[in-house]
Amino acid sequence: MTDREGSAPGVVDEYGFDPAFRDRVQPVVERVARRVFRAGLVIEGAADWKGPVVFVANHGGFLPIDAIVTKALLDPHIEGAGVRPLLEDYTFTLPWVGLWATRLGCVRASQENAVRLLSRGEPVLAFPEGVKGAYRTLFERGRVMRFGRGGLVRLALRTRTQVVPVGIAGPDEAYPVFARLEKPARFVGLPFLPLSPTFPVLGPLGLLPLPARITVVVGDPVDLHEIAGTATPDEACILRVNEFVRGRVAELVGRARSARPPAAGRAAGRA
Amino acid sequence: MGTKTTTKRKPGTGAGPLRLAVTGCQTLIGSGVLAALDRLGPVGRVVVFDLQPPDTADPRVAFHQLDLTRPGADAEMAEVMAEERVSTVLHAAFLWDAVRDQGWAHELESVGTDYVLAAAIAARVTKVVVTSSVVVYGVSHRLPVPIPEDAPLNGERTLPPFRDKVAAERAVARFAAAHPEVCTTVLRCAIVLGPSVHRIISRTLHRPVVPTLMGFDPLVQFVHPDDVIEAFLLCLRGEHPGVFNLAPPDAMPLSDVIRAGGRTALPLPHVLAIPGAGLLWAAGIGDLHPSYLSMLRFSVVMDGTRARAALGFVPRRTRDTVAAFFGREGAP
Repeated sequence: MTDREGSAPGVVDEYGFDPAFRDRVQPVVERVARRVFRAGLVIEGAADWKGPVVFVANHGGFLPIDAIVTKALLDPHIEGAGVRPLLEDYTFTLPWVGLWATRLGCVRASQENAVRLLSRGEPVLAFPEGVKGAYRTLFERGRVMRFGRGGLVRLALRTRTQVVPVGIAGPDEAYPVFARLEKPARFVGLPFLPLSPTFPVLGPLGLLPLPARITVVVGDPVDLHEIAGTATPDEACILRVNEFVRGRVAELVGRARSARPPAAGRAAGRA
Repeated sequence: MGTKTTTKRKPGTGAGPLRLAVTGCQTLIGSGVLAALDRLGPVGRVVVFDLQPPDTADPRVAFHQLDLTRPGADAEMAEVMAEERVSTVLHAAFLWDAVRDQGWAHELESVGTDYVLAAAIAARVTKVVVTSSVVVYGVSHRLPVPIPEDAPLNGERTLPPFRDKVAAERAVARFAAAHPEVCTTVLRCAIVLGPSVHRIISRTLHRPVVPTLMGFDPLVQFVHPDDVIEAFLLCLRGEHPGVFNLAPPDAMPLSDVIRAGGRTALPLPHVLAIPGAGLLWAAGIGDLHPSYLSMLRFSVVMDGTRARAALGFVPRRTRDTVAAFFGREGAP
């Protein structure tokens, strides 16, 4: 049992998160993110997130590179075990991808899982666009899709969770999708497969992301209760707050996209 | 599970000693409870319904040969139960593994449960304890983590060979709602791992090479057979209506289990292994139903807190059960 370095068996949590694996792999992920994806993190405002906090970001990409890269960049700024990204169901049906995401701390997106993690004080990274955000095509690049039916806002209001909007630029370019293949994807139990310059031409390898620059901008926390203006929000109020949060995320995405220097400044982005 | 020394007791009358009926005396739980009768408090009579007599010489145990798949089994059972003034029924006549004869499984598990419940009402018993299993929740990546008792039962969709266990559970739930005067308990066991267990999973882990699926390493929970028997004794002794998960407090990655036993993992690509197992099953080779492979793919972690709080059931950890199974004392 001691042959696996640094990791004792049985220390995974009920989701399969293995802190020892995270400590071993995350530095590699961060190096790859900075070298290959020239990833950069901008934190607007103070990074003193206290109590239960949910980072709300736009989604992008067939494989969860947005979540993995954002987690690798954010974790040094967070005390404790790090942020727990909530990913689409289909991620966990993919071999290796689902396993490694799980061991790094990713969890299947569901209300119950979010509440469970938040009640333990673990920060959560949510992608409320859901699968619609993951399969955005080239022609919808940079757009932030509908944030579900406001479940996340409802949850945050109920549990008095701090909401921090995050804008991520890059995954849409890392996955230039011409079209979504939905019918053939259903055969293999996936919600969609991308039709891209690399897939299906290169086979499963074509599902790997292209080395596009990824920029993550973390905004100021949003006080949902203040925006709701009431202690007992109704459905219309929830949808209004939901739309407000989506607006903030869209704003940050715009800033993340424009913050990226043109091709000439590539070397500078390495830091 | 050796037979305990028998002590003679006077046959009980009225609400005194326990008068128990057991179905399925060859199963792990049926035989385990029969071997541990002395830990049940005063026992007046134990009526065993099965095709084969139990391996016990206890004079309190009376064997009544009965085929649960035969129409009319309920009336016969009710008659014997009323005659013996049975107050408590332990329904353990369920199959451990997937069988090829699904028609027989349906008659035994689904229809058989209907018969047992009908007989229980006809004989006016006051308590019914039913064995169930984690498989009723099914296996998929969408399972709640950990699985609470009120989670939907998706077993028939994701584990088709166990659909009759789900049907039996639904029948018990309807029975419990319709007869609140009967204390109805359902215990859903995690996968039992022990040397005396002849389930396919125990058998597989006994072999030097264990098949796994490439790129998947699910969390698994194993419960020790002695702990399972203990939970049933708790429910037969006390009044614990409801459904309870019998789950250890922890879970382990499958790879750690294989490593703990010094076994070699044989990773197979799931896109080939699942259809391949389906072909072997259809051809009548081996006893591995392809749906078992989804247990090698997705984690199944039950929430055992309700049983801990209500029954005081504190099972061994998965790690200790695994260590005991591989013949090592204590956790590594």
